[in-house]
Amino acid sequence: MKKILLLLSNTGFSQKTVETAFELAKEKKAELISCYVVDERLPESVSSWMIYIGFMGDKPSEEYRKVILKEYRKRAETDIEEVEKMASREGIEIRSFLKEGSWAEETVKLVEAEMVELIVTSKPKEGQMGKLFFGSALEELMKKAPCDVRVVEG
Amino acid sequence: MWRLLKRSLLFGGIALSAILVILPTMEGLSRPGQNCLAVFCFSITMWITQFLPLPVTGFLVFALLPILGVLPSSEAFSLLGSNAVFFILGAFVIAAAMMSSGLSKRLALLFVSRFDKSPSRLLAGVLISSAALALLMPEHVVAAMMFPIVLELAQCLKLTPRQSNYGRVLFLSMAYGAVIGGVGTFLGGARNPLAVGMLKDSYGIQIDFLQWMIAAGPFVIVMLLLAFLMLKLLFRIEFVSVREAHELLRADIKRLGPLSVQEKKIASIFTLAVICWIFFSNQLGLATIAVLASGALFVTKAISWKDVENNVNWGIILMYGGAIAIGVALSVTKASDWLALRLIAPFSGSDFSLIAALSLGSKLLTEGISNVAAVAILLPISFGFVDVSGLSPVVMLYAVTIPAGLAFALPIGTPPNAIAFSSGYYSITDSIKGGIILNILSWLLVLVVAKVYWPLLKIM
Repeated sequence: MKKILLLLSNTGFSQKTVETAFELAKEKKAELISCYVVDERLPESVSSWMIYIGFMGDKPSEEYRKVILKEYRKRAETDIEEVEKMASREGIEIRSFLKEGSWAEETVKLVEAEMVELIVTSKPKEGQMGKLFFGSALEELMKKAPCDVRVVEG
Repeated sequence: MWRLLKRSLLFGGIALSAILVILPTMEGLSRPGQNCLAVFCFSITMWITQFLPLPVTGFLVFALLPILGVLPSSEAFSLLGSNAVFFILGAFVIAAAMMSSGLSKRLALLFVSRFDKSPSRLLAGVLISSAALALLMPEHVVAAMMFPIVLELAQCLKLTPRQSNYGRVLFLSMAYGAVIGGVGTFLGGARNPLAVGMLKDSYGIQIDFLQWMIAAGPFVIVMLLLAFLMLKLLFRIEFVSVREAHELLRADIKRLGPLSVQEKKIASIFTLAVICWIFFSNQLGLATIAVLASGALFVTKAISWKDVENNVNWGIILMYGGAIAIGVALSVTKASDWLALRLIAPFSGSDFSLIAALSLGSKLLTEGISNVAAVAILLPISFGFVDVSGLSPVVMLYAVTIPAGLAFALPIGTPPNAIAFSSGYYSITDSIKGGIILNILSWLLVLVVAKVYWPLLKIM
């Protein structure tokens, strides 16, 4: 059976992406998997940057990192719950995963393990300036993904 | 693109440093002066590209100055022991004590809870609390400490990241407050005592704690007001009931319990230190008071060495030491005069336009690199104008150091901006929109203060 991965992240939740994934799953009679990757890039880069430039000791940097990741995890659980509720209303079965780490790398690992044929995801709301400073997670995913990636705008 | 630019700057900077060492001496420069420019160019390259951590660059400066014959090694290394470095060291120990005991969190909660009656007042509360705390301890420590409190407030008010304007302004006000408060005293931003140390080592002029507060005071007051108005006008705040926030803050304060003996000891020692800094720093010396207060924290067992080690990153002391050493070397070899005459003089007309140019340069630089590095780069150059203009080096110091602390636009400008941005409640575009407005306003304020207020203090 074909598998479609609905990929979520803390760079933005898009209802349109979820709906697109649902439609595709119905159309292709595919199994739907959702995965939320808590992207550690930003808190990691902020805390390691503060240590690197010598501003902050290890303890406050670590505490900051823990607080922000806890917050991201909480948001992830809320979004996964929301997607599961939407799927249940549509009569679609869905398996959900919650992962932490690099958005692109964690996704590729899951895609390989689950033999996913299509990834459906949103365009991250980082904007051009965000891309300039923190790099583009989406571009990294497009390069590394072993299957097709459909990017839903809006 | 950013990486490519950084790489080009890195190779270009290193190549220019090498060329300066190899080239015959240029007109108006001595050999040590030209070699000093090479070390300066190397340091700027490293500070901007951050190819090496800031402390390592500071560390290398001490070796490069004697190797290239700029300063004798005994003189170069002795600059690490400057008053400013020891003041910063003591201030960091005191901040570590306040953090590890929970006193800083208690202060933050007490401050914010005074303003929890309406959404606008709560917003003002976060802004003022961050600023008030940044008058007492380093701004990055304030931001890291305020962050969980503001996050908790946003959660309890059910504000949706990137959708709620109130969420946006709460986090932006936390960052802006810490940034604005950081210019008010020597304790908020370590670049302030660093700059004062560079002035003392180059000209023998000492600015005390109170003089700084009086000169920088209008920036804190006016910028807080402008930031509050700008946030309210730029981001239309939705209706939010703050009753839950009121209850949450009360519950958090209750959970902390009564003031512990350790907190009382730290509060007493800190208060005494601030009184001494304000009234007796000329007699006792800023650094002496800071070191004595740190010692008192250990003697009274209010803090352990482990607490200090966990909370303070000692490497930054080397950055400050290196910056002071290079500033003194540029002044001693007159390389700063040469640089000032060749680089900026052609573009400056009157003394006032010079202040405008320097403060603008400082503001632009601080948005892209660490504000300490911005001061370390621009201050020695601006001191070069002292001999060729009628301006006092004290004016140069304020005109460069105060704007260097006021970075509002980019997350990479200063740690409070980076910490607030990582909340995910606002986008870079929001940050830039608000930041550009505040940057323009704060630059105009520098000009007004330089024209109207500083002459009253006889600084000009």
